[in-house]
Amino acid sequence: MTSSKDEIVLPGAPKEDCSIVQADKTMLRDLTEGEISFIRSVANRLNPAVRDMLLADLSLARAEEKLDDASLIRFNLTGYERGKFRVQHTYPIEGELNDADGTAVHVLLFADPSDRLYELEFLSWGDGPLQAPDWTTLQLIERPRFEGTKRLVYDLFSDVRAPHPYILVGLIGENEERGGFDPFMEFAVDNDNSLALTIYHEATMTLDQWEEIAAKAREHHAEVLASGEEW
Amino acid sequence: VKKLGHWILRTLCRNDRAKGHGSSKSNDSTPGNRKRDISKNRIVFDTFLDATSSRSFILFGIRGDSEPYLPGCFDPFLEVAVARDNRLVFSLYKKSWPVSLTVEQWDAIARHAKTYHEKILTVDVGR
Repeated sequence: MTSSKDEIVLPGAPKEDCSIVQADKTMLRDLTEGEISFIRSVANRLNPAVRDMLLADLSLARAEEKLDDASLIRFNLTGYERGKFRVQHTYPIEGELNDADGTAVHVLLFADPSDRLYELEFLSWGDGPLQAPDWTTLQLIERPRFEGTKRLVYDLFSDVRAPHPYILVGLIGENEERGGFDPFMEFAVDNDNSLALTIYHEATMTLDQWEEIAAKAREHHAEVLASGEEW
Repeated sequence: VKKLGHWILRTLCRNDRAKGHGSSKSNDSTPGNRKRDISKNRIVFDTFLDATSSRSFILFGIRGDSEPYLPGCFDPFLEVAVARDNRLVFSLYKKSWPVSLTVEQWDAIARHAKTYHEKILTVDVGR
């Protein structure tokens, strides 16, 4: 059994290789129906090459529970020796389901660097250990992928209830039309002339884009102050 | 990684509470509330290193003026990580409370992220 302290390394602690200790065969079990059906559903949403590889791995997989509450399951693929590696990655589809008490739990599926099935992890949003995830409540979520090719777009917005016009910020793909974009944040000048950047929802951006937003916000602030207009 | 971040935070908070270091309930307060003077809020951060990946990431949160800061015990609104191509990636989270920052706080986050980026790239040389 591994304890959870093996899974978390705090800053300052030495980096460890994520090398695979030979699984204790006695700890291996067959996958449950819920696990199999989740992995199949993920596979069916992937591109054909990745899907076939995942389905093939599924047929070779036996499970090893790595944490006391079985919230981390590592797969042992018959006939496949995993080399030493440090980077695992998630499949682009994840699941969300309810724990026995209704707490939301996310289910992530990981592959090793050779894209072979590696781990399944339950991330509970509640306190306390994982209880009994209810697979019948499973919903699949496609994670937005960071491509880094999106660009920032801005819209000046006037609202009679706002002290000054404010700017909505969105991210759109290279070839996307900017019309009616979904803003993820705004920057606005308040009654006291202070500038606030307010985040509405998820967005992923580069450092340059982060700095571009600051520059635009300052520009807008200066313009509003210079206009001297009360709205 | 995004959710992994939450998970590690939660684990740390639980540990803190177990040791009697107070509550970590993120709904004790609604940081970043627009009605308040947001310039008085403090940006807090923690750097996490996940043993199962070679990369670490920073999570940023907001504490009100007088709220105590416990390491790992805040509800993050932003994650900064180094992507596989070594670029910095800023990922904003959706929160149930409004997250409002001053532009100075926005800049401070960028500065901190750059320092972290340089450090990570140095450490990773020869990997």
